[in-house]
Amino acid sequence: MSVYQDAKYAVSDAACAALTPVTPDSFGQFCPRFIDGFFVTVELLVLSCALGLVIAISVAFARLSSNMFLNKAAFVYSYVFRGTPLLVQLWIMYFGLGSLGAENLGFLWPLFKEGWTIGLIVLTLNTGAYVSEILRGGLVNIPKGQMEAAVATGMSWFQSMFHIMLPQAFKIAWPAYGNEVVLLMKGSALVSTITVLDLMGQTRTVFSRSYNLEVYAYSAVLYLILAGMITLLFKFGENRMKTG
Amino acid sequence: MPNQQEINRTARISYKEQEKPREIFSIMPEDAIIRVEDLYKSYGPIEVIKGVSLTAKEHDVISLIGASGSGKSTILRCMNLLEIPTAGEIYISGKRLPLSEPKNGVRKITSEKELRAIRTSLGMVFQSFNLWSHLTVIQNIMEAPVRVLKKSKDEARANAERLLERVGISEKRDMYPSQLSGGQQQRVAIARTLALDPKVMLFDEPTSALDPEMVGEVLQVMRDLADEGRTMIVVTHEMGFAREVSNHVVFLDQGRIGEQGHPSQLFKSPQTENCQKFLSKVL
Repeated sequence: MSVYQDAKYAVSDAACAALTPVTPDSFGQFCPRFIDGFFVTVELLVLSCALGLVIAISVAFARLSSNMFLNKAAFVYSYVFRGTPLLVQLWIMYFGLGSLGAENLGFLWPLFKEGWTIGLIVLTLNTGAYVSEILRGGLVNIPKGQMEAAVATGMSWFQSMFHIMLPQAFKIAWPAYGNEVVLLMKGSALVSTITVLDLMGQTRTVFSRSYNLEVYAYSAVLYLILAGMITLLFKFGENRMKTG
Repeated sequence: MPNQQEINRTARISYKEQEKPREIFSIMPEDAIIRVEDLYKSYGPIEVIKGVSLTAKEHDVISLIGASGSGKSTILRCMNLLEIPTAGEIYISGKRLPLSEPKNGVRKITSEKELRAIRTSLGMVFQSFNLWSHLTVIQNIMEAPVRVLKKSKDEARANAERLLERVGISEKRDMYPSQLSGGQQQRVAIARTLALDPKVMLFDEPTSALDPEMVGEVLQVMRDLADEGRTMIVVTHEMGFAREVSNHVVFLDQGRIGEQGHPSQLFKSPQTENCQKFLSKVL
């Protein structure tokens, strides 16, 4: 872990050394804070995307399974998390459930006391709900014969879904999925309201120190850069999937 | 010493030489590789199969013919439970398809594991090919042996290459299905089912979605399979194929068996009026 920390500091130092001479003082002065916040946002984004994807695949399969209980449970989950604002979800978890305190939450308390862990959990559950719906849309749009050909060889339902249907669903849903990741990145700024010092959190701190409105523009540029990186990544993935 | 292929071929020829129709009930149940007993299938209030019984022995090539809507494809799809029959039993090599007794008109699959094993022994070729679009030709053929039979990738690949050569499309091995013509796709689909070395091959109108100039290449592959002694059940509109290749033809008439017999007899002198009408339209 400390290797990772050291690497982050090294990148931050190098980036700030390079940026300070070419950027206004109001940025250079707080450069390490911006870079640090940028890292927190990226960490939350990468982790919640990865964990959210696991949830999304499970929920999408559950919604298409013939098991009534799984089906309904998956529907309720996806309906609740897509039907309520991310901000409300964050506050219910952090200020609401978190206020039960160590004595009531027991072994869950370590999760609830940190804004970062709650932020990660809520972002994961939120994106899991959206992506499950995107995947479900992809899955139901695959011609019926693909699944029939798979089960006719003796593959199980799960094997057919995972190895035959899912890759094709991803191909169909890829642009919508890329869009969801950008939305998640922007939504992640809300974790700054539960004490997380992500890019938005750091920006607010810097503003409260300098009362310089320019700092919001710097943070907007950093978010734009991140959005550009995500878009490029998805474009790259799309080109690789073009064949077939 | 004659090899297996030749033995099978002579067996087939001697079949064709017997001009008299094969008596279906003369087959001992234990000889039957597929036995369908009194099959019924309804979709809601519409009954599409109204009591069909069929038997196939090893090396049989049975053609199911009939007008569209007569239930040919449905019977075939019931054999590997892509459709669940409303009533009736199906036995594959003596094993009963694992279906429960109907409860409120619904029959459930009682053992997924048994069903999967039976499905693996029945190769199905579809009208619309249904090649997996995200996999290359060779990956399409390797997929089931690796996932279902747990073969090693190398073994599956070597076998897939042999099969591709046999259906004459080795050079397309790394292409995706969408880059192939319909006839080529169907040949790949046949190779895909052969990769599991099925006991019986079920063909569901394999040439109906093809452009006319590509029908021949697929039929040729099917002829070769028949010559090898493969047991095949073919739903087809290709009367030439039914007449020349199969040793038993079943004419389906509105969900019932209208007439059946050896092709030479059925095509030359159909006994029922509906079969005569049908044949006069398609021949």
